[in-house]
Amino acid sequence: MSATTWKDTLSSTTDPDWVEEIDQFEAQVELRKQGKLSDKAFAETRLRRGVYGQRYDNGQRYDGFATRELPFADVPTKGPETVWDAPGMVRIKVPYGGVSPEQLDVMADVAEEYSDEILHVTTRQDYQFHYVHIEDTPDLMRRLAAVGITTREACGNSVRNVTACPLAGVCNTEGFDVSPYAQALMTFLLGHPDVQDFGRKFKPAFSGCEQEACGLVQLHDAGFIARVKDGRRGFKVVVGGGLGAVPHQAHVLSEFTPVEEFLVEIQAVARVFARLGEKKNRNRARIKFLIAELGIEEFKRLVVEEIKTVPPDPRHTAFLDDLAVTGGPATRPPERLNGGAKPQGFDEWFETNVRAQAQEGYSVVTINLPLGDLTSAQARALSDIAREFVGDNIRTSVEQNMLLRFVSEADLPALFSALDAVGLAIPGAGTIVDVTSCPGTDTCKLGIAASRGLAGELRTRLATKSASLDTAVKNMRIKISGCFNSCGQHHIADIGFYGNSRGIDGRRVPHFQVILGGQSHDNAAQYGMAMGSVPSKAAPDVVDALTDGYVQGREKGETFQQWIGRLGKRNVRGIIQPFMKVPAYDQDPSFYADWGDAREFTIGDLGIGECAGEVVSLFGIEVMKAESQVFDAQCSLEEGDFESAEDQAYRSMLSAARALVRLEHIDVTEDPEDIVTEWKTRFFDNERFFDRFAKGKFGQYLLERFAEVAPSGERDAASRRVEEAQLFIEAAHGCEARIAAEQAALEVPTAPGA
Amino acid sequence: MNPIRLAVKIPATNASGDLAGAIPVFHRCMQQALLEGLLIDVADYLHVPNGPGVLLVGHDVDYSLNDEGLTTTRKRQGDVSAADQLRDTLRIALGAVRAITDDGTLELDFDLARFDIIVADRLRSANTADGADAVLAELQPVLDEAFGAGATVARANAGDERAPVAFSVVLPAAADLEAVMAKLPAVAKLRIPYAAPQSEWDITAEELKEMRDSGKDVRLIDVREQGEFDTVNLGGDLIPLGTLGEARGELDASSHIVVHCKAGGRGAQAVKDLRKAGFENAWNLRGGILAWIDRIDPSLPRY
Repeated sequence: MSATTWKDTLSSTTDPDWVEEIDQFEAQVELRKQGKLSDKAFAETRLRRGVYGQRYDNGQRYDGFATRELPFADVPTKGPETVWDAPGMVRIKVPYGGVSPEQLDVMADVAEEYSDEILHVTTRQDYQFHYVHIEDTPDLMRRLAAVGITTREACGNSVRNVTACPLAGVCNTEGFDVSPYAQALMTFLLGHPDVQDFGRKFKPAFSGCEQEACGLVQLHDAGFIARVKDGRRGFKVVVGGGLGAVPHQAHVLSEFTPVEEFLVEIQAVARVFARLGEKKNRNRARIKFLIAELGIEEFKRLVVEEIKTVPPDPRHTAFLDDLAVTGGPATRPPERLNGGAKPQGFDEWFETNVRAQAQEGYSVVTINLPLGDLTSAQARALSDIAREFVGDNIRTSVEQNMLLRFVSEADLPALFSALDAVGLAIPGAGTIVDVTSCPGTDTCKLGIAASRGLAGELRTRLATKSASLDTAVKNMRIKISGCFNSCGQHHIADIGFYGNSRGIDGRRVPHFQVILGGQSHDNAAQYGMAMGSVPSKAAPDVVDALTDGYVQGREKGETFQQWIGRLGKRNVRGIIQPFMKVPAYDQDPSFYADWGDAREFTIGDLGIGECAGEVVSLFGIEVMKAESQVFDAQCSLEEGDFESAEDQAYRSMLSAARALVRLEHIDVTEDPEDIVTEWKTRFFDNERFFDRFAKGKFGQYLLERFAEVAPSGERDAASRRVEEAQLFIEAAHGCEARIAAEQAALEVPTAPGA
Repeated sequence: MNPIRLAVKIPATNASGDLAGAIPVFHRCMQQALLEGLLIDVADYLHVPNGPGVLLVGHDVDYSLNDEGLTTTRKRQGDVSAADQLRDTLRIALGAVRAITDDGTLELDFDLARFDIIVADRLRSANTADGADAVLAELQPVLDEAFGAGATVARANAGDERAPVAFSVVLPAAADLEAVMAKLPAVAKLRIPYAAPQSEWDITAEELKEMRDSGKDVRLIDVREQGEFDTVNLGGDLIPLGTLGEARGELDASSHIVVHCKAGGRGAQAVKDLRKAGFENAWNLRGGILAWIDRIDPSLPRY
């Protein structure tokens, strides 16, 4: 074969716009390498093309003894503090999670040649490749583009992947199949001039019906729920939802927008957001903050006004004449499963992984991917299986699984055997075993604790006792994030966890905050609340204690959320409390390392060092007061006493700030003004309190509350303020860890000759 | 042909057990710079059926240990020929077998009588009969050079054109690891990262060489045992760690002393004891005699 290039090989068969876009990006890579483009500008352009940074890409890594320089070559950076040669992550964009066998084959190829032979399914129905070198990204993009996959606007301040219920089109309860509309929205907005000037990302989602979980529209920047009115198709449109550090439920923008008008409406939303949304402070730049500030009524008015100014565009309705084919026809005739011999393990798999479709004689099969991971070899095998049984009908789900649709029921035993031969027939899809997790400390720069490590451990433990689990427990969901940013969607699980850390006797211990009471049904209509942090190594025991408590204590027909609600936060906390204690290092050092990692735990890879010294203990005592106040605030919230909740949340921030101030100024009074003034001068103004990534965001929460103490007495505002207080306390922990690290650095002399 | 990836997979006959132990092994390999390459992190993929197992990700080379064996993948070597990449990858892979075996905690039996070669570069080598022949033509001389004429090579992955080009190599007998490695000189030296400190008073092999070359008055003390000393030594005075306490009185506490052992652990203990006893110029050779052999004088035998 002649040694040509992918550019020459594929350019003639790829959408010319995409070819130009990728060629341009390749030129920018070269320009940056020659130093002719600033690293900030380059970072922005690569993010818009789905090319992300990854952990350790500042060239530093803690190896278990100390933080060391990774000796990458000394060439220009690919962003501020981002080393050129350090591997990164590439995210692609797959609207509604649909892929064809041909696309799967190419993804397998690029994973094998540029990544680590793993296709990772994300919590937003996308795929990610890790450990990719920046100079390999243009060819990776070309190969995907040749089969109709773009990475454009998969990251950055742009319209992200358009997600949709994975059962759209085959579901019994949906209004209609939303997939073609999701495709239309994606095509219309991709690269659209009105979506290029956002202060932050924008995530759309579609759902076929209101009551199911599948679309999760309540936690999206824009959500579309299928509705049929007088025989016309349309959507209930919601805006301003989002998880992130402080979760917001979306607000209703329109009870019914006909499909003819939904693109112009979302374009108007985009224009309002681009014009009025926060640009400078990225921590308040999501559309949820704009809507919270304006109020939904005013926002609605602005959108209605804006629609009048949007120039006419035939694309607003043209897609309706030729609705996208999303999936293609079934490849096999619908036949009922009857009588034949069933392979071993079939029944258990059938029970959890197979679901009847609206279409008679067909089923949807879920492939339970452990932690969303699929190897290149498995992907090739799966594309063969799909070609034989279902054709183009492959989707991903927000549970990081894959779905095969239009499986003729008579084929199920043969399909099971084919999947089983390549390790893809793991039972338990959608059960408690099927734990969702973001990448966490494995590859994410923001990760604090090993979410994937914990998820893997829980999978193993729960799978071994799966047979003996109570049905109600089996149906629960666990979701884990590596930090407060909620990419693992911990707010909407029965049991959610997010990673944090605590200082114990001068060492850092990985912890997970336990989040209970969230729900994913009704499109994720209720978010869970923080119940307290437990050491990472105790988290599986907490799951046991909670599920055991539920099985023993529930009343007839009571769901887990209902049981948690009936018990009340104080009693639930009583269940968790025994697991909060960390044994001394010499008694059990295993608590001081995270799951799946042999190194002693650190948060140093976030860019801050290890800690040691007495300051920890004093701070530890002081900050406990803040923790118990914020817990009280949660209890008040639960009891509907919103004013008290807001007051307690404010006081908890004051306590945490005071704990910090007392590290340096032991005589600080209890007077809020004194505390805030001292804290502001000593920690905030000089940016010592600043989080490496969130900057002054968390500190701002205290300043805002100090400026305006009066409680609102409203549920939404109160619950947000309690969340904010929780985050402020986390930030105080982080600040203290950095101070301790600085002190430790001063105390340990550098070894000469080392 | 310069493929973008070339891998060598060496089977381990008893690797099907619990491989979680590979996580600390790979971390140690990074800490002590026991493996070649600029190594970045350890990724745990044990949850993936037939997956990469435990993966040590590097900039220029990846190592993965799963229930089939150890796969060593050279990557991003676009300017190096397939033959030279195979030469390098074989040597690196055998070095990794040696490091994992030396570590001892995994008790794997590597089968050095057979291995696979995988060339993943669909632009330059199609997985067809002709494509595979063309790749093999480039690789065969390296196999002859390393193993003599006895190696049997068969095409693997022939059933699926989408899969990477691959070959199974079977040798008449298990390869002599040291001998094969000696025949495969490094072509493109990989970037070797730091080695973790073993004591507060470490010096590197390079620094020791500089001290000795500059004629500085340094006393080298070998704290290993007699048998080890007889196998290979650097010309130091043999004072086994167990006898250092009594022998200390005869040493000059103000002189420059470098202690070394096999891999640095005993040396670290020795230098701690010496420092405590007031030897202000005592140092430990980080990585021990093995570091010296690997970095300064590969002609010396390893053990």
